Amino acid sequence: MFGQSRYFRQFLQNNWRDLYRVAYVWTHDSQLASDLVQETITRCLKHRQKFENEKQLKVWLFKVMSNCWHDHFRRQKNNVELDSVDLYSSTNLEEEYYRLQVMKHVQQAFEVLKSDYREALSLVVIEGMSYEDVSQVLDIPIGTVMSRVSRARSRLKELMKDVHLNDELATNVWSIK
Amino acid sequence: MSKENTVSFEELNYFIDGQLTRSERAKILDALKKDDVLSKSMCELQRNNEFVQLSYSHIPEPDQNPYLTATKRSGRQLFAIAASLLILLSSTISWQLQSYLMNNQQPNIMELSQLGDALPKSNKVLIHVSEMDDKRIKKALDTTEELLTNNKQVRVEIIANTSGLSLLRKNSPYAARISSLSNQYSNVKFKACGIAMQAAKLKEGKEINLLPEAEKVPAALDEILHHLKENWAYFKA
Repeated sequence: MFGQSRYFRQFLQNNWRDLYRVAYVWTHDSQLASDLVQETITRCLKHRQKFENEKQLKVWLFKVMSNCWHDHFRRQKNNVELDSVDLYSSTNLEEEYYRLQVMKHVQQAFEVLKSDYREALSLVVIEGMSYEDVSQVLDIPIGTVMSRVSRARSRLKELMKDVHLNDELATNVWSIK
Repeated sequence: MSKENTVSFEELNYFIDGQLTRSERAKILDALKKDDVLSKSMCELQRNNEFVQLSYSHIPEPDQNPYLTATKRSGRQLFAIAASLLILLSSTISWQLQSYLMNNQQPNIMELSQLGDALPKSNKVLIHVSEMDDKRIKKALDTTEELLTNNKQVRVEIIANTSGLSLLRKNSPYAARISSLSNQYSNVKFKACGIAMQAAKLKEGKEINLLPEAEKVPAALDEILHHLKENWAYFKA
């Protein structure tokens, strides 16, 4: 069984960064994102016997993380939703000003999106998943994925108008990329 | 969008996300050629996608590898508590440093290439190594040597944290160079971040040994903050 094999652990080890990136988009908090990935991996290891289809493993991985994330919200339902944007880390003390401005603007725009929209769009844009995979990860019909992605982009378009206005800013972004 | 090309916003999304069949894609490509408004809308969508991808391409690294932490979690409660304390300590110091930098308009923070402009103004130079990047480390060590050779009054400290800690570990590829600098000049110090050492210890499951020339400090960021307050010139290698 694949879940029992050493490849399973290897797969988790190779993919934690992808999980972390999406977790960060969902949470905008590096510590919470790290905790979410840890919890996801712990659950995957605990229920490893359930993993049989190697091809669908990545979808399963994100599905487990989505469940962990929604469990977190259920536990936190009496609290205000986390809204802190931590753009700082010890390794980027001197990140270029313009790049930070763009990142901040885009991340803030992304954070304003409804959680449902943010989850769907991040899996498509950041993780490059197909709508079908996203529908499995989030356990929603594919039509709902399509409408969430479309609405999320429409909202993002309004929120990111200011970024486009500043050509100098955009120039700096591309040069770094 | 013009009336004859009835491509909806939703369809543009499906196109951009590669969710259409070949014939559906061809139809949209054809419409894009004919309709400037549609084409502009598509460019905007594409650009927003790239902005989002770019914005999340440099996110803060987790303090610890979540995979290793998860796999070691069971039976390692004490380590988990220690790690939490480290993260808390690190976050607090980071926050302090950030506040300091925001409130003090970053007077001494420069790139290593700007060193020439800054040198006459300061005889205290702190070089921060946070990556094990050979090119940057060579530049940092060359600059240090140049400084020490040309200015007897200067004090230089090289401080290493995160993956830059490897510079000062016992098996460092730069051990000979560091030893030579340290033997030749009394006004150079090498400092290793205690938090990075503890994180490496948890990750590797063994004690972290430093070069004899290196001194362990509780936290690199705390040290940097302290030096900035003392008007040291700070350079990121």
